Amino acid sequence: MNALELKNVGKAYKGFALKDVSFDLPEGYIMGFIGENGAGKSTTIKAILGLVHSEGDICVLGRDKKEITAVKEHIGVVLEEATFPDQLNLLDVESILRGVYKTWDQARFLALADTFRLDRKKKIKDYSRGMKMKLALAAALSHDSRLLILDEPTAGLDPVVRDEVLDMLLEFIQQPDHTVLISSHIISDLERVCDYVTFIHEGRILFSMSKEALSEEFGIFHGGEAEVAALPREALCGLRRGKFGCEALVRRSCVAGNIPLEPAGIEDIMVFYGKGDPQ
Amino acid sequence: MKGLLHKEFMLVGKQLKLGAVVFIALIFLFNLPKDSDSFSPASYIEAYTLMMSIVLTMSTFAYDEQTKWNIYALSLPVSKNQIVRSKYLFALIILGLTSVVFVPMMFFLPGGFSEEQVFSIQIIISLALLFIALMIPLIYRFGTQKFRVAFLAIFFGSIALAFLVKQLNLFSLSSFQMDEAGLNRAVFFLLLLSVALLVVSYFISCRIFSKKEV
Amino acid sequence: MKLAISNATGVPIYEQLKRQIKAAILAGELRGGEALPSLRTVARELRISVLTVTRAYTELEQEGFVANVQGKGCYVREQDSDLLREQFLRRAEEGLGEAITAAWQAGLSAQELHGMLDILLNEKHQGE
Repeated sequence: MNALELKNVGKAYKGFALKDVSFDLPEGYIMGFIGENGAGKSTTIKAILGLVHSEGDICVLGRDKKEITAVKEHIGVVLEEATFPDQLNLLDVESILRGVYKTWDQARFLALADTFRLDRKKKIKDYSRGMKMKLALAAALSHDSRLLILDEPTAGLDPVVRDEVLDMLLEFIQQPDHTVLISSHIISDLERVCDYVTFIHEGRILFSMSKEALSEEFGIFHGGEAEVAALPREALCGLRRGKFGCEALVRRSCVAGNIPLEPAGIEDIMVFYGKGDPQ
Repeated sequence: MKGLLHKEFMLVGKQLKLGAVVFIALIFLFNLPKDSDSFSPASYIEAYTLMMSIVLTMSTFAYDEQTKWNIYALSLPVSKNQIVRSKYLFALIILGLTSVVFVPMMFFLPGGFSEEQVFSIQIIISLALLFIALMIPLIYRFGTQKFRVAFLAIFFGSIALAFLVKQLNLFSLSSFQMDEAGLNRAVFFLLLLSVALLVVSYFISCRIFSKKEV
Repeated sequence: MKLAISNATGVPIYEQLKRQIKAAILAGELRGGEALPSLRTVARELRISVLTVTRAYTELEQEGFVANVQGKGCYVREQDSDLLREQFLRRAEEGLGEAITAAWQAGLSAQELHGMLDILLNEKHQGE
């Protein structure tokens, strides 16, 4: 079963639009949702959660977007901008969420708070950014979540926190019916751990595939101008010209087998695509 | 949804406590002999509870705007309508709480349970409901900042108006040309009307909020 | 069984996993009939993606080293150790081939290359 199915999702704002956003996320895996700032990641996530109206079909955990409010019982969310009211503390937050989620597990939340070393009595306005995010993560993991959606959870946080988050995610998907969608413009953390990668650029999906397929699909070619020009046009996805030669992102399927190509990482692909049309 | 109400109470906790203290102080303050012609102390105090429910409700909206609470709230398994509902419920609960505390207190006040007191209390409750019915959709539509300005203008304006009316003695309950039964019916009708308008207001707020993008 | 992934080598992760599992099988650390750790456990411990582990296990199955039992997991097959040895022999050959090419580029003679091999063998032995 797919945890998430998007088909031709669209959303228009002044000066920016999501268009024909389609991808699927199979149950039990981690998908890295990547793109530069302003590419449309947050908008897509808001559309999935029903925070904004959108065109197209969205299916979350097998149910249509009309039923999204009920499905949220099983969705854990960590959003970049939304936090809890500043004046409250962790225990207040716990009592609020207890009255909201049917499957709320108080013991688990408090245990996670301890693991994250979060002060229970401190006001949230005195929490650091990392602590606020960990609070949201603890909350997301303390009810019957089957889908975790994280929007730029580790932006601006130190490696120690990023590591803690990664640990939690890996623990989360030990259950084969747990799925994670994590959007980020910093991919290095996720590169190893992602099963699927979806790349959004200027409101459109450029590709969505498994990471293994991605490394089969793309490669990096090093050579001079002439050699690059000799490559078939449809193979070229991105180009970088330098003093000592050129670097090109190519589709392996479009070039001859004997051409030496280096493996392309997710970040490489992002950068090359971001530089625009190579022709 | 219980959690949503919980959140509102936790946020305005301090304000609520302060309000309660002032409330009790007022009761003692007004426990002084007054001539029967002026507004009974009970109605001043009831008017205060009206203010409380309005001010506290407005505070909850202000807090929400400050922390972008709605974005988070909508990631929870609550619908937009439930969020709106919790606001109305909150306002009504504050109003109800203060009224419930207040009614037994009336026995200790000068004038006690006079007809006039009961009438003015009913009128003030109706006014409270009407105000809430007006306020919440406006806040949803225009936000708390713009609303605050309008509120202050209306509030002081209506106090000035009421004062003026009283001074000019244009309108006095005791000299109203209506028999008791008629007055009863009128006041009751006013109460019903405000409840009805509150319900209408709820649906309007739901509509406004559902159109809003967070 | 010890498993470790290195970012530095440039060898794809699934390939590293395969090699280490094959080495364990050849060394007798993994016996026939023994179960490989579950996909998700390996993914978590090594901090890699589940699909990568899946790919390694799938290819190991295709190459005849393990058998995937639906719903139960992956089990090591009774090994024809000769087959395994051959795989490693081939890798040694490839490695030597690369070493020869590099040595020629450096201008090393066959004798010097032999000498280098002896020194390295000594070092590795002492390291054990």
